[in-house]
Amino acid sequence: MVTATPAVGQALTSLDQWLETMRGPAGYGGPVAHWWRDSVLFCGPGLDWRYEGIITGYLELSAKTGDSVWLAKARRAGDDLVAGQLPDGNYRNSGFEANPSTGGTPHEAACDLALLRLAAVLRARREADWETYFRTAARNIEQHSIKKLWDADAQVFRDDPSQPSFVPNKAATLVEALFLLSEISGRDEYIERYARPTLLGILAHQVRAAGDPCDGAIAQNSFGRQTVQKYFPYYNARCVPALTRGYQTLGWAACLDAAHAAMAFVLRWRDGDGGFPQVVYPGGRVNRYPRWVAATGDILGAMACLQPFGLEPAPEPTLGWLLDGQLPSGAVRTAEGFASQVSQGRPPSVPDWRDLLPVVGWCDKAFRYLATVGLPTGERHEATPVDVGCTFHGRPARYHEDAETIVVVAETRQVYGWRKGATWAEVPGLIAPSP
Amino acid sequence: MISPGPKRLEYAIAFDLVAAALERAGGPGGVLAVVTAPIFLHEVLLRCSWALTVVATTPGAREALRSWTTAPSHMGSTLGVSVVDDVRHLPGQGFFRGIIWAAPEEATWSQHLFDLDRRLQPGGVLCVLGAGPLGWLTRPMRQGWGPGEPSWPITGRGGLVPAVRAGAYRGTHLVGLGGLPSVTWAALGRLSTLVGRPDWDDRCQAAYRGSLAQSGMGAQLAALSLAVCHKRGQA
Repeated sequence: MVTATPAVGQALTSLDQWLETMRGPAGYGGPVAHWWRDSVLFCGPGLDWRYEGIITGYLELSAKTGDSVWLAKARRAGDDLVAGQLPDGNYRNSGFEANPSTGGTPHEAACDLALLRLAAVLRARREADWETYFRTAARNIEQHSIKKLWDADAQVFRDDPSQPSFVPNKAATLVEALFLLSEISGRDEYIERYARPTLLGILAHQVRAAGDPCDGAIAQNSFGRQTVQKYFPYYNARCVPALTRGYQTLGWAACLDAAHAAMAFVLRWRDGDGGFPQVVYPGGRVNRYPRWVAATGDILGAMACLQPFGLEPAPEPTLGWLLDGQLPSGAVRTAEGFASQVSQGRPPSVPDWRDLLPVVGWCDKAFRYLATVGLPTGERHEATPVDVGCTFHGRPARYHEDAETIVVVAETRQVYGWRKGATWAEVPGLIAPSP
Repeated sequence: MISPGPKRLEYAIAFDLVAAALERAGGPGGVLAVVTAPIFLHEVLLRCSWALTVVATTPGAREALRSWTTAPSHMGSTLGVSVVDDVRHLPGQGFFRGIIWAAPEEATWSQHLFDLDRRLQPGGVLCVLGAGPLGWLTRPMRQGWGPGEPSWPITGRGGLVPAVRAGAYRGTHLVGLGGLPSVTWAALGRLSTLVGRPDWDDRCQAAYRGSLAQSGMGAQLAALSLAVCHKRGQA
């Protein structure tokens, strides 16, 4: 059990302050660095999974403190999603690393989950606007997830409407949303027709082989009958809340057993410093880098989720890893080791600029977890600019961030620049010079 | 609903660069997009937050545009989109702050360049996406390559980029997309999968993405070329 320490409280306060600097007129923006690809030019508001941690985190603080400022921030974020819903029910720029795009998975489901949590809180408070958030989420689930992604033959949600495809961790987020949608609406069909079979689909992707390094791991995805045997500790943790909910709501012991097994896999592969490798392959081969820092908030959250059901998680090494990654700006750095993503050798001592690049859609995971275990200190500090050496496409560079800009300079020349609130970053030097 | 066809990361990178260049250009006018393929219309509409005028110059692009205008999808500039049937029939006399041209065709590029140039404001940005010097080599390997996608190299001698450089443009930045390094990494990735090493494939995919866009010498040997050209003068 993590104690609400002053360090956690200060980290939470600083992260909240930093999130404010990342808000533009239509929502939280900023660049994205990711394992799959980056989106560092488009920096406009992304109505994606960043809202899950932001809204849930503020709701948590509201419940714990009773301070109206937190509920106001949760509502404000909910209003971003309501205003950004498109005529077909999708959310604008929900693709995260694939932005600008729409129909992002699990991003739109994560937005729905956040909106439904907000709606539930407001309804309990008898505040009339709860229905606005509820209807927005329900519309997205009905018009996008169910209408476009539900595969009646396979009895799961596709990741891509154009081909049989299934991604367990993404489906898990949608399952959480379906449970909550059913609870608020009183309509069991969301569980019976969709959540139940999808949970079975997730279970079918789990390795059960005692003694195997990947025992308990849930495969990343499948195409038709072909399972892609890659096991990401981070994405495995994302499956745990839905599996736990499946046990709580349906009484399925298999779901709880699967959640424990997935968590055992995740913790089996935890590094001594509290971080986690990026991906494990059959036989125990590993691509370790980049190792997430801010996103480990979700892994910590999964541990906490299982604690009432017997897990003794020992979160401290990972909490230390996360807190050590907080930058003077209040953001939590994205990763360690982007420079080693190809070589998979030990990362250089100077971080890649993408390691430092603070991404709202990763920091929200840290924020949400810290909000569950800590209390903000209430002391507002002037954010300290970040000025640190880094590498940019292998060249020595300097990363600078303050409340208004993010700038990378190499050899006295600006190679990347983003003015916070702007939709697009500046391009000079972004393309890797050919040798 | 536009069915854009297979998504290509090269196009996402190219159109991101275009949008960032247009944002930086500033100026009061809107943006003109001349497109030859549904995927280009799709990429433009995802990014354009300015007043947009669209010219579709091929049957496929016209069909996609018709589909969009008759049943507007979620995309599109919040400032409105107008449709014109021909580059020669652009309405009004005013200037555009930026022009996106994807992709010029051999038979019409010269006349179109003349028509477009006179409608681009001083200080405006002309962004041209076309085939690169290696396009002929890599096209057969590309899944789902469709009509309207770039087939004519814009950097060739006597071609579009040299013409632009000789004209009223003070700076032309050339980016190559899908060059030899990226092709090599993609091939190594496929080989890795064949020999049962998905971990190697993931590393090759990361290297592929990192090498997709190059400037300088790397741009000379690419499958696609993006030219970002700044017109002389000030808006």
